[in-house]
Amino acid sequence: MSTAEKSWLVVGLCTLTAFGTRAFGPAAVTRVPLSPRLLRVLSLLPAALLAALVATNTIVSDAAVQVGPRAGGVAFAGVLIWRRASIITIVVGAAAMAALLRLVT
Amino acid sequence: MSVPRLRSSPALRSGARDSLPVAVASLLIGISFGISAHAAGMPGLAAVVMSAIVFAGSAQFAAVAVLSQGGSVVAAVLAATLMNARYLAMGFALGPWLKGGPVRRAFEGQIVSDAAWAIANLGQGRFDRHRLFGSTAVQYVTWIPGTALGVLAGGVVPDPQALGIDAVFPAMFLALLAGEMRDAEAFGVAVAGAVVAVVLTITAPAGIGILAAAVVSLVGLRPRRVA
Repeated sequence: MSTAEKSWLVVGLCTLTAFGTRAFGPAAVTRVPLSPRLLRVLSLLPAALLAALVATNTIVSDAAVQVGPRAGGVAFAGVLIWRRASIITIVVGAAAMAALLRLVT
Repeated sequence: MSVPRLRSSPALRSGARDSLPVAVASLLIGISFGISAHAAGMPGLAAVVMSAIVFAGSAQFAAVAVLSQGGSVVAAVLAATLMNARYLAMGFALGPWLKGGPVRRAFEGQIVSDAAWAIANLGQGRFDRHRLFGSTAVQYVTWIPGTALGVLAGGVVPDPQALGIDAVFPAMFLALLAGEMRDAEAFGVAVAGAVVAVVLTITAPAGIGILAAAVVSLVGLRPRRVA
């Protein structure tokens, strides 16, 4: 099989699995859950997922922990968040700091 | 299936506005995806189609990485699918806030990206679907041209890393995480989630870590202590 044929096959199959992965939760949970315990879990879920996304996108590269310019940028974002900056300022500030640290290291 | 018309709403517009920096990042990351796909020998059209219908950056990069190493179709699809595993957890949180029966919800659930899910999150387990749609809309319209640019003009565009673009997503997630820190339990869940995710991202197949972190939120099932 050529790389082109393999590519199209991968795109087709990824379309199916991506659809299924995104569809499963919404199709299964069709009403606002009434159980207070389940509500509690769902209200804690964003904290767990967001923290996981922050941590893995900040200090993990190539399956290893690496604290570099990117982590510096995210740490600067932390300061801006603490100073109650707007989301735009936070994001642009983080990128600028990461770029600056890359320039000087 | 007819797509229900979505009227513009303040939430739709605010979701789009709050996602503008992410849309810029999405353009640049799209470019780097296009470049990687092209380098891996993927036809340009396949790369653009993948961005348009799979619409999941990390999964697309994972699939292309496997292909570029000469891996099999199955290995590439598996890598991408595992990378997307977090959407299972995100979908459960989002499900109650979408509209219609299971089929319509399944389609509305396609409009999820990490950033859109985070932007749509109102805290207390509540989500606003209009903010979700607004956020995805602005990312979608930059992600696809970005991919096309990368395929066509690979090499003449700046390296997203040099611009610090890789700090954009974690910074935004951190800002939204700060809003979730309502009590000690949420804080504990966040710390545990981060640790689980990092450890498993290093040791387990890519993508498993974030899904496993979601399991930490099950501490919410504990019976409440009545103070």
